[in-house]
Amino acid sequence: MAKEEKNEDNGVSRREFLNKAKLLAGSVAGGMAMANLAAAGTISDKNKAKEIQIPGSTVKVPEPVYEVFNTDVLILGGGFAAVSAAMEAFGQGANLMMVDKGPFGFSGGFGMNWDNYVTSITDGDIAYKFNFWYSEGLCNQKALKAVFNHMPNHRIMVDIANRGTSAFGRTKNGQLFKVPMPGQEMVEHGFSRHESDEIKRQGINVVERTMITNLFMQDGRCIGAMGIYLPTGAFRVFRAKAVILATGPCTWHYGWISVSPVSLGSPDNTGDLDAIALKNGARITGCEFFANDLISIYPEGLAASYNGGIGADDINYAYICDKNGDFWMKDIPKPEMNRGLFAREVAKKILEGKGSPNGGVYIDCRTNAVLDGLRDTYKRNVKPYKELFGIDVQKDLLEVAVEWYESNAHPIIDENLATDIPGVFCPVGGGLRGAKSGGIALNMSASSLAAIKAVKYAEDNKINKIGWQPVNNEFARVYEILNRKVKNPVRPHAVRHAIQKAAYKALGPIRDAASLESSIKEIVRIKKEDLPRMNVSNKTKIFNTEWKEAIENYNMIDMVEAMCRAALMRTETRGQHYRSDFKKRDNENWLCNITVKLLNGKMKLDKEPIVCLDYTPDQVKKFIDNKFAL
Amino acid sequence: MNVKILKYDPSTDSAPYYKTYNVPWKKNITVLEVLVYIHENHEAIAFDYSCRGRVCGRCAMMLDGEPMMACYTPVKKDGDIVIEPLKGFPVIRDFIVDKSKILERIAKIEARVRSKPLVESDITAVMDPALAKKIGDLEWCCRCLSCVAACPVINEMKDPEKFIGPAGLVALGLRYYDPFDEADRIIEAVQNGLYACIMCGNCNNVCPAAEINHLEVYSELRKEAEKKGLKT
Repeated sequence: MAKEEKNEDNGVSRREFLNKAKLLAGSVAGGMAMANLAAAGTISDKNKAKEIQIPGSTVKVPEPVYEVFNTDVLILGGGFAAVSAAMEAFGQGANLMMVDKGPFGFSGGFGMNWDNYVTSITDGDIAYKFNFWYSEGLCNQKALKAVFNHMPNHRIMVDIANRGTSAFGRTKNGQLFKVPMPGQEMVEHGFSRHESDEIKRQGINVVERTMITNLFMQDGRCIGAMGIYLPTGAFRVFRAKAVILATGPCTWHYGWISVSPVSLGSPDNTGDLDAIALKNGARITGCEFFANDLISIYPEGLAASYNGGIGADDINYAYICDKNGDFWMKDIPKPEMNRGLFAREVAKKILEGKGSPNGGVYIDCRTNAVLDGLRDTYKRNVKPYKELFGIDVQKDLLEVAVEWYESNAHPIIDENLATDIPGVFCPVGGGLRGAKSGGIALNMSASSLAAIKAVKYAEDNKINKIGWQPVNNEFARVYEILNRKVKNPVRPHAVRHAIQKAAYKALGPIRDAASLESSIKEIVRIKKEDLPRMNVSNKTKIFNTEWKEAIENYNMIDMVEAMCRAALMRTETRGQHYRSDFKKRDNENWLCNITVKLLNGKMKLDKEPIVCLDYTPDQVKKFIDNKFAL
Repeated sequence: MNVKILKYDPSTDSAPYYKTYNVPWKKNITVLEVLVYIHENHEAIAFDYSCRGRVCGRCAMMLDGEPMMACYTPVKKDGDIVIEPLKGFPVIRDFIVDKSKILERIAKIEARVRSKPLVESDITAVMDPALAKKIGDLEWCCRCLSCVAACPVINEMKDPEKFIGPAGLVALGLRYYDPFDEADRIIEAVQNGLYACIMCGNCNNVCPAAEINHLEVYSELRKEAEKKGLKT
């Protein structure tokens, strides 16, 4: 490359940058056809005049080439949170861009076009109290209150209908079928495709199939993000004045059965942005908590898929039984049931030796009453189970296991939904969920609020100067992962399965110090011995799924380590965190959050006092020790 | 079993080519499990999947010449099989295809057309449960586009402008049934090739959503088109 008027530091020359920006501008305006955009925007990397040397690696990295996108508000993610944030920011007239790792509308849990519950708030104050109680006291009261104050009577059902859903579940008389909850109500038959269609109808710019590999940091502030456009392998830089992290849970770590972990989640759910925030100095919290259902694990190819399986949850649980045919949960009244109790009941049954051979329990769908009452998403699998796979749930009990559908591990946020990193907002942030999971209502209200805060931040905080060194460093990091040559290579999927195995052993519905310590030891070993010799066997840059896996592994392993360490530290039982060696909730010592921070490459865990507003810690203890009452 | 797959990396290969791998068969093995086995035990291949339950549409591809969802299709016998990328779409690499030419149009069709936003009373009003079911059944279209790959008309015509194909007609059907939609979906259906369809039912046979009755949707749209004198 010609040497000329270098910008700020030894990155891209100003003229070259302007040329690239020009080259891309036309294509970006073209909208959604991103496959074409990449072809137009890729810069030739013929010039390898200057190489970057990575310490400890034999790989010589060529001078970085990348595509630059520019926006004001950058929304990372493509699911419910990202879509809601995007619609809010767009409605405010902001320049924004969404970046989705998968094909937009088809990625993550959101991309599964299934019949999901749509929750609306009927009374913001009651909903706030209930969510707080449900969090077992750990929610940030200020943040939670801000979210419920933002939309006190948020009729999400109406929003969802306006985005295209026409037919929520009906009773036989044609009335809307509602599932009541304190301060909230749920209706059935939400289909997420309408949400992504609405984004396209509005004309919101989505950059899809682009995996974010790092934030773009400058002087402690986030000024964008960067990553790889998977169809071509092109390196992309997204400049922005504010960034919203709105990606899904980290659930792809929890075990491995043939094609998936024991999670209904998607291969997209590798916790990238949470790990990236951690690497860039943010504290993450909620790492020891998760949310679960029971779902079939056979046939192996369909294992743990909500949509390919038949299961049960904390709303539909009367047909769950142990190996002796005892329906021990059926008499728990619905208002008393919650995710934490549900998980603990299953854990206890397994501990009593009354579980199933693969660490779960059973569901009994042999009566018509149960079959008719199954949720549609389960019921539609009954016939194909029999016809395609020879499994007849009308004749036999079906083994179900505890799967992770949600992890609570996210960057800690304040009442502005701002993370520790200036310029980064997180509507799914740690502090809103506490010891149990939140729902789509919370998620959508928080996303809307996060968008408002991010738009304001973008207006108030200009960027006067850009230093490109972080971009060059990240380009070099991912280039090295693709091109490294190592002795005793190990392929990325093998490393991943080792991580998954360690996570499954320690982070299940029953936890204890010995298994957690053993898994932490294994994670430390994988980091030291396996990650450096991880080798991408095919060096193509075209949709290199192995390269993607390898990069994700660096994120997953940090998340699993944080989860194990936090679960080990919390020597009590709370929410879905059930410690067989500490079976009681201990408000004296553990009415607090655990934060995880990276200091010099090591994880530092701290107790963080709960953030109070309406309830003092003593009031919280009394409140959560009683049943929820208005 | 011997598994022959069609591989293609446009950055190195002049054309797609077949390669055969040995994979141990087991009862109820899915096509997706076969691909994961090849990827982990033979060599890296590019394929995409997510839900393992036929609702995300990402793993649609061809098994012995027929479109299907890799995640939800068992290989019945320990014999030789051929797996290829979904027919009729540009290949990005191996089994990853670009479906944007159809998906972008379906997304635009299925966006509701309406002058004023809905209010709560519109939604809570009684709806005929039969109508709710009719719409609800079509919601299960996951846009895998197996139907498009199986459609003899679109594959011969090769012009989505003249015929959007089955998934697009299903999207039009959904909005035609939608009591809140105010556009004339019958004109739109005719414009998108309602009468190009030969009613062969291939789409219905390969569709992973048993809830959708394609021919019934097309017939109802045609009946309405005829009432309006729009039959072509």
